[in-house]
Amino acid sequence: MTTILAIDASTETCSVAIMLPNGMHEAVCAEPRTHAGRILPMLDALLAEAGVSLHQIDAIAYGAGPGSFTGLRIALSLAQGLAFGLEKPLIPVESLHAMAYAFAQDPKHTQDSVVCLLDARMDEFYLASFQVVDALPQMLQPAQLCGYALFPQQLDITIDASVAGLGGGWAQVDPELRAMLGYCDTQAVPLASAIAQLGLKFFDSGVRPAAEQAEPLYLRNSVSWNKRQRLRQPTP
Amino acid sequence: MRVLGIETSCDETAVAIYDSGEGLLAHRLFSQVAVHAEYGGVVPELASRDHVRKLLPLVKEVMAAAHTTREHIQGIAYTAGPGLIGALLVGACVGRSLAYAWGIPAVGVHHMEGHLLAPLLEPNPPQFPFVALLVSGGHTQLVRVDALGQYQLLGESLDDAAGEAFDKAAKMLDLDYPGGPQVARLAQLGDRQRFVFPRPMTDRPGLDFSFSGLKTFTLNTVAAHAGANGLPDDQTCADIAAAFEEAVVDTLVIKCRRALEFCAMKTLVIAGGVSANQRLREKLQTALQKIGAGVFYARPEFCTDNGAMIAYAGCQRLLAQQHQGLNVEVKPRWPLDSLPPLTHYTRDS
Ligand SMILES: Nc1ncnc2c1ncn2[C@@H]1O[C@H](COP(=O)(O)OP(=O)(O)OP(=O)(O)O)[C@@H](O)[C@H]1O
Ligand SMILES: [Mg+2]
Repeated sequence: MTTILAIDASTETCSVAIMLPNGMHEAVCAEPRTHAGRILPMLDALLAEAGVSLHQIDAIAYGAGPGSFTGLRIALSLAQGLAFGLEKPLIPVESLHAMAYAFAQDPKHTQDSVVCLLDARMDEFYLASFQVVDALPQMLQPAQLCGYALFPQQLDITIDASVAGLGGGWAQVDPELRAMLGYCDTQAVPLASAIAQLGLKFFDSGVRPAAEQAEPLYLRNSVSWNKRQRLRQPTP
Repeated sequence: MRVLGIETSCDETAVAIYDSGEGLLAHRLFSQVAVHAEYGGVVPELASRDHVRKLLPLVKEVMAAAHTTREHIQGIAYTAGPGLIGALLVGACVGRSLAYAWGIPAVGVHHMEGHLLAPLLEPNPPQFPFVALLVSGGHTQLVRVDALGQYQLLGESLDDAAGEAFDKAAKMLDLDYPGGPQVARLAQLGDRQRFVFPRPMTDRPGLDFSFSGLKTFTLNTVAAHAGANGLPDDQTCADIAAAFEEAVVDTLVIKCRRALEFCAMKTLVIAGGVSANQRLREKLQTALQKIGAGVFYARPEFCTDNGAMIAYAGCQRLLAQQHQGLNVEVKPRWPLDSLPPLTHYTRDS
């Protein structure tokens, strides 16, 4: 009887979910740049709706990335404060994995594989691909950066009607290529409900990281900031 | 009231526990200087990443050092601005959610109020009212402080902050970042009379500052004496550092005295990184003695960014029942004089 709290802010949509043994409660906010202000109030309302207290939560899962750096840190920092304060494990769930999971769980979907594509700015995508086996996504290509110009060459699978494309990155892909997909959802984003479900699986398999061990999955680690910055903003 | 304070507005991760009855219990700091040194300045993305890594281990360490368990902590204060937005968010999100988990109030603290109040943590604190000179990496401001939380801006830098000018001068002299302490060290070896740099904006009335001309003057002096390697000889570098420091210090001293006279006050408080500068302290002491005024400052480690000042300022605001809701808010820009007044005040015992 495990209760999982999940938080995601890896894209312009943020979400919070509480997964109880008997059901899922989720709140989603699609307004960009307001995540820090929204997540705890959303959580507070969800707890009231679900009729549980913070102390009944067994573990906290967070959308670890890849995604917006600031968003990843907002979700992680909020989750860290909660996990540290409640003395509960803090479980990372990859954002593209959560997208593929939500897709694979839906019985209406029949495609054998999923290619998740989010815009990573700077002419690159975040890419990952999965094979769907028994309604679960199994990783084919782990989350990675892929230059616009290297897509779809960098992809290990061939795009055809057996492939589903998920994520806003697909909106930037050549429409002819997109038309070859068996399914395409350019609006798909990682959601806390999927993160909670995957978090529970990890929790059940014994994954119990401490809050202070958590780190986002940035993927981009040096290239973008060798430019010198101002020491501080000028006096307002 | 016992308060956990968190500071992550720029390139230091700092945590402290302050108790309004017992005083400061513990404070710790992780400096990111090494992370940013090779870039010659703070890289915001790297700063944010490092705060994530360092903050919780530091909270644990400070709680242990203060012999404090979660049951003893009655409030959490975190820097909510001004500063780098991504860096602020880390401390604010952790601080706010931790307070929620512990069921205690939280408050977002103004970083410059933290600096301004840091001298109140010292054994012989200044009495209100006073004039405060905030001199740091991002600010050079003169503030009239009638009481806790009552701040009126008297003047400020129209361009570079004094600390920023120190850092830029350091770069011109090929010294490492952050340059203030390095310039000050080198200046001790210099002849303070060999070069005379301008004292910007001291020959006209007013309490504003400008340090960008001084920067240009330094650059030109370095260029005029540069050898084959692009730098003057060691002694000339020391002489330039001394001339630069004298010019900044004299300018600050002149404006501080003017501000005290303008407000008809006898107490000056200096705060922020540059207030650690020994030459500034000495010259202020001498100048203010002549007009029967006194100068107060924090120990050097509480001049630059630290958690103690945030725990202290936050404690005062929490005692006045000023709480932040569950919505985390950070303000990269935030005028000091827009803060709500503080009605309650307990002196550090
Ligand atoms: N002994 C010193 N002499 C001169 N400058 C110094 C000295 N020590 C530190 N500084 C300067 O102080 C600044 C750092 O101070 P502080 O940490 O208060 O600034 P900040 O937090 O970056 O900016 P702000 O507080 O305005 O947002 C740097 O510019 C540094 O060079
Ligand atoms: Mg500072």
